[in-house]
Amino acid sequence: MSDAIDLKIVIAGAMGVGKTTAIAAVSEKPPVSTEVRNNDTVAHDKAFTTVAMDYGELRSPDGNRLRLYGVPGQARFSFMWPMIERGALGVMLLADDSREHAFDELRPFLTAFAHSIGAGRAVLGVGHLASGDSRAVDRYVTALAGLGISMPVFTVDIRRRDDVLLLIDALFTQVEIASEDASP
Amino acid sequence: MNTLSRTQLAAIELVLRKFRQQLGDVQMALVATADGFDVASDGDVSDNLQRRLAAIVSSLHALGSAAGTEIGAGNCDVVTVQFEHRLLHMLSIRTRRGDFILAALVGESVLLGNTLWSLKQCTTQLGVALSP
Repeated sequence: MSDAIDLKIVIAGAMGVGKTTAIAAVSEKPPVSTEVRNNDTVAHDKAFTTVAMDYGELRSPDGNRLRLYGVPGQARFSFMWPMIERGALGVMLLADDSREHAFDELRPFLTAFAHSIGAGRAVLGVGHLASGDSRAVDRYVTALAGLGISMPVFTVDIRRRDDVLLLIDALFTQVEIASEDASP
Repeated sequence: MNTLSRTQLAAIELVLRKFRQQLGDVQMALVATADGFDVASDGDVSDNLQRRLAAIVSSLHALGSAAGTEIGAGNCDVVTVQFEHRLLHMLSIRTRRGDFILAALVGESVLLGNTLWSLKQCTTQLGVALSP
C-alpha cells in the first residue's frame, strides 16, 4: 500500500479564461473533457466550451497524486461549482485581463468559493496581460482588498506548464500557512 | 444563441406535445442545445426550471459522453437517470445546425422499451425540425 495521498484542486474562473488549457498544460494523462460547441458567441467567441467539468492529474514531487478539476465558467452551470469544490484542498482562480470586465467576471467565483478563499486556500492567476503592464498584480490585489479578500496574485501564461505549476506550488504554500495558522 | 425561426419552434413544440400525448405519463419534454441553452419544452415546466434543466441536462449528457470516450464506447446516444418514481432520459440530436439534447421525464408506469422507441422517433422528427 502506497503512502501517497490524493489531493483535489479546483480551477475556477469565467468562460474562456483558460481553465481547460491550464489542466491540459500540466496533466500527465489526457484530460477528461466535457467540451461542446459554443453557441454563446456573444459571451465569448471561442469555438468550444466546457459544460460539466475538466479533469486532469499529475504527481507531485513527493509522490502525491494531484487531481485537477476545472469548473464550467458560465453562470448557468453554477450548480456544478459547489459539487466540484467538495473535498478540495483549495481553489486556483483564473482571470483573463484582456477582457473588458475581467474583475467583474471574477466576482461570482469569489462568492461561490468564499469558503476556500476565506480559509486562505486560494490563489489567483491573471493571464492575457497587455505587454508592458507591470501594475496588473497591484490592480487585482487592490480590487480584492476592496472586497476584504487577501490572496496571492500572479501574472501567468496559462498555456505554460511552469506557470500552472507555479500556481499549484503557491496554493500548497497557502494551504500550509493556513494549516499552521489554524494550529493551536 | 437561438437562431430558430418561429415556425421551427412551433414545429418542435408540436413534436414534443405529440410525444407526450402518445406515450402518456411524461411530466415534461425539453429540447436544449448541447451547451446548455433551452430551446423549447412541453409539459409541467416553468421558464425558470426550463432554463435550469437545460444547463443540468447539458452537463449530465456531457459527463455521459466523457465516460463513453474514456471506455472507448463511441458516441453517447442516451443518458438515463433513474429516480424513485421517474426516469430522466437524455438523447442526442445531431444536426447540421449543431448538437441538441432531448430530455424527457417519464413516469414508472410506462414500459422502458416503449419509452426508448418513442424517444428515438421523437429525436428523428426533431432532427428534421431543427435542420437549417
